[in-house]
Amino acid sequence: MGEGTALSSSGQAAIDWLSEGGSGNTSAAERYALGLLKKAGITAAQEPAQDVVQEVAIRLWMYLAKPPPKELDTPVAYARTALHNHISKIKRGQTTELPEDLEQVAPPREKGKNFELLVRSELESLGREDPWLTSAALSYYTLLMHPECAENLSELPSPAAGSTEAQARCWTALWISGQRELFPPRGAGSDNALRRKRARYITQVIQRVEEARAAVALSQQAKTLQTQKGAAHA
Amino acid sequence: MPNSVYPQRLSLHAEEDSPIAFMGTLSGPAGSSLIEYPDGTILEVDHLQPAQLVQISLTGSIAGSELLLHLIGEQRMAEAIDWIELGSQAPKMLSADEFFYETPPDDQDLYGQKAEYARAFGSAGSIQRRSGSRKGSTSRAAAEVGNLVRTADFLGDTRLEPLERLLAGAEFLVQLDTRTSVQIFRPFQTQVVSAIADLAPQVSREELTELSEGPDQILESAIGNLLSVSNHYAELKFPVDPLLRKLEDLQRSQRTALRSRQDDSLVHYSRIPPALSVREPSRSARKKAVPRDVPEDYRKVEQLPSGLFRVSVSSAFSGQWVRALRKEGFLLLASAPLLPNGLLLSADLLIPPDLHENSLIFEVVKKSVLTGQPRQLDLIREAITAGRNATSAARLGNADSAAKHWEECGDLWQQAGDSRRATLAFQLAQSTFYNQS
Repeated sequence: MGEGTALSSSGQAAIDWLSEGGSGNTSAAERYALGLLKKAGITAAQEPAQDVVQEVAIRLWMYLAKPPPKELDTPVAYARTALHNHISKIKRGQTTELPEDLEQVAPPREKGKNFELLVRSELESLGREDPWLTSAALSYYTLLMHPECAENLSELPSPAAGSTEAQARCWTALWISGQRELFPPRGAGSDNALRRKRARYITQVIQRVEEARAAVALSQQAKTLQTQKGAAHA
Repeated sequence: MPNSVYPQRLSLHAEEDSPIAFMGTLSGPAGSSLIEYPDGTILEVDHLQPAQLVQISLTGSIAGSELLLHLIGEQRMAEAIDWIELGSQAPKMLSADEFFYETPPDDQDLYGQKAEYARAFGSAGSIQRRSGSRKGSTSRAAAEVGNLVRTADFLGDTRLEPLERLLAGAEFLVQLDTRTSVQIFRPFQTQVVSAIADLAPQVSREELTELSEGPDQILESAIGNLLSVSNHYAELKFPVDPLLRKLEDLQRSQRTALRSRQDDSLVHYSRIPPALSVREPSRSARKKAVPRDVPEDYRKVEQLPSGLFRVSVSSAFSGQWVRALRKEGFLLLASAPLLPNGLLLSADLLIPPDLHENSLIFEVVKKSVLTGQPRQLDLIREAITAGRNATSAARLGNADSAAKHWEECGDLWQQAGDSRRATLAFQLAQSTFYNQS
């Protein structure tokens, strides 16, 4: 994950366009999303439009923050296309998937205990569905931030040798969250269907944690920029 | 014959900085199916009634879009170019193409489905005719193109199982080879073959065998499609023996269907394995008893050698959860469900090791306490997903499941504040229910 990774200036411009507004002002990005949602017959679209813009800002930031830095020819047009594609997914009941290689992402270089607490708070506020996901995401994040916790958990189910650390963390987290049916009885193997189901759950957990971390990092970045702008005006 | 796939009146939207859009009808409760043509033109149809155009959208110039020309015809294409050149931001109603009204083909006619499908799914047609917002006319070409778009959408839907996506891919290729009106989608052939080749290794022989042991003839065309693409494309490899056996069985059963009909119900019941027969649980078994030796308010918090915190309570708290909060600021640190542990219920929680037990609060709470208020956007997504599940269940002839999904879909649309789609979903739930009874 790329907290602290510098965005290209054009990438930053796309994020800025998406992150404008707030405090009662409707941004250009929100107006654009609102128009697309209304065309799709989503009648009460104001609230969803804000959420759509926020979701796209987080996903785009995660993509752009991954090295190497990416230059965009037309940042605003790029952000508009991202909004358009995201809404196309919504029309099919889907969410935009995060970058596929999240599991390959290096351990975090987060900014101290405060960042960790903010991510936990974000995980709680993102938890609007069945609580297993928040439960698993919180345990996953604890294991990520405190890898020493895993040392004594060898009694819990663990994946076969060769699996990634992220997968191993997810096995523990899913077990704690009560998703016991995802694991074969001791000594037995998993059939294809079980493996696929478990893989889907693992993806959801990792995505949720990455989403929370990105949201916090993005909000911190926005605050820093505001402070810098304020200082420049003074 | 119409000159275009969508001869009905369409409205053109060409606002600055937005994709150019040719709007048809609004999508229904199951949302849309989309396909993006190689030139960037996106065709969006209603997922429930794919013969209904929702919109065609494209960025950049429309003049070079081969798909758009095929879909709306030359005359209206020219009309649209003129309007866009004027630079007007207002929507423009394009004229209707010359066409003769055609009765929309029903599913049985179009997809070769059996009568029981039509009974379960046919209700959608009557809804479409009744609803003022969905009175678009459809042609056979629109139905065929729409069905192909929906099939492509299934193939690309990663929420579905590989076998389901594989079947969608096979259906796509067979339609491409058998329907003249969808030839415009020929550029997708290589992509679809490649997607099927990627999916095939993820589908096991057991799954194909299971498919071939389906309860009735619903899967006949799906199996036929798989066999057809397996013969046609050498690069596609999946075990076809179980499928061939199924096809032979089906042919045999069709020959003997009349003779065996009288015995059918007996055979059906005798197939139910004794282990699956449902027995009413005894009164004492149904009652959730708190063990006598565990007081109802029993509660113990301990740290296990593994470092996990275990909270144990009596079985009076069945179905509830435990959450761990940091005393300072009541920040949620961990949560876990209470699961049976001998005579007790226990939840194991992983707490950050830098926090001391004294700084923690453990609470036993109902599951609903841990579920936040859903956002409107989440409700919309869930409503569309429920609608898609209902549509799939109806296509498979599972009217009971379809009715339940439509009911769920209606509830979710209602919560999301969309009464039009909620009403449609409830009507579909009701008509599906009556059709099956």
